[in-house]
Amino acid sequence: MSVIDDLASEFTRLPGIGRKTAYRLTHYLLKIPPEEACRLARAIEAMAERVRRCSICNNLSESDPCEFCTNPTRDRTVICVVEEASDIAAIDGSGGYRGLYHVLGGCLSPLDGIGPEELNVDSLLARLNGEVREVIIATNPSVEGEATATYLHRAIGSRGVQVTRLARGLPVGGDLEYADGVTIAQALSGRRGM
Amino acid sequence: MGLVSTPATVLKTYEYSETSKILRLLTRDHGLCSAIAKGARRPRSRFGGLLEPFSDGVATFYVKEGRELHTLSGFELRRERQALGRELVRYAGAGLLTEIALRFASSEPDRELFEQLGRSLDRLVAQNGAVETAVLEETWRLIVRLGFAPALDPCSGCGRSPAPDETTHFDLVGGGIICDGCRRESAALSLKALAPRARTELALLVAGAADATVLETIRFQRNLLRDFIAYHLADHRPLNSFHFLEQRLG
Repeated sequence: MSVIDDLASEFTRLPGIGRKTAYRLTHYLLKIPPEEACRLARAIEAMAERVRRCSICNNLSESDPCEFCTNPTRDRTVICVVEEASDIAAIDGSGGYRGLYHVLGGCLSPLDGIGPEELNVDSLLARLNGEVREVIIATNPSVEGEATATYLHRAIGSRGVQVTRLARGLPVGGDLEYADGVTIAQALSGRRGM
Repeated sequence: MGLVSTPATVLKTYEYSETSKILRLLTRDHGLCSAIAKGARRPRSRFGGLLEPFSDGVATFYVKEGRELHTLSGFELRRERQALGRELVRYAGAGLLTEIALRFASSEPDRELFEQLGRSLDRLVAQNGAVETAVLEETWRLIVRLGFAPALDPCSGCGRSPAPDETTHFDLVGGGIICDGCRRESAALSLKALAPRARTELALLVAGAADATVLETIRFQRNLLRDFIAYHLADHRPLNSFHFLEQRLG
């Protein structure tokens, strides 16, 4: 196998990359100046060497504990539980949350054989040490996310910590006329007094 | 073939690229098939929350001969079953039913299988008490519909109908019962002793007549179903969702 085939083969291991795209990316890298390609290679190497899981919240970070767990300005009485580390960027980027995070590493999925034992649930329960007053469950608004939230609610509920779930409904700036029935039904059931 | 519309149940979804989803669908008119819903993960997608596992609707997609992945152009929701996610045994049971459909349904249309899956999922949503019985019974219904019904009477060795109070044996390999007399002559290693009560309850489950009965032999029935599926349907490997169900039930 040539070097070109070898790199293309590595690209096909990435999500959403098929054989044609893999070769397109490979040939793009062959066209750009070699130093640019090497910079990309070094960035990948550095990421693989330095990024690790935070031993407290399972976030991906260069430091352990991560920057959220060590930041003294974060509200330590609230933990937001997300499925993946990439969800943290979305929530934190909103500017509406200043608490801590916990990454589950997925959601309950019978078909994929993912049960609570495969998720970072025990480490979440271990963090409920008296200082934490609220756990916000921010799993995806899907059947799997709902089942995961249900499980967490049961697991946490007996520990005297308030458990909340992100609201579901219409997107800001959306058009009611084009919203689907499930979303409208969720918005109606979650309506608030004014 | 062009644009087709058919009632469909969403069995499983996979994220694809940054904005799309790939769906595995059991359809009434086109059997088991896959479709890509482009842009379905965008916040303002017209598919919104429609394309969730266990949902029923009318799927409209473009079919191209020789292609396995069709392009979904619309999904008109008929029934959403998000409530299954609010109770883990129901969720595990629904996962088991959809995994069976995913693994063993074919691309040939099977209207009765499609309708049976819909009825089974509806029952898991609505079941009031005895949820485990409902899961086992609905699983047997699908297995029977797929053509793997076990033979519970007469004995598959001698052809005699066992008396109601007679202990028999379930032969996993043969897929049916054998009487005690035939067991002594059999070299089969795949036998499970079937007490009269267990045989009666198994017959109720397979016939779809258990309804909301709390079964005395529920754990035996669960183990038997797991082994039966593993042997006859799943190349000796238990289904992921069955393992998940067992963990939830303890």
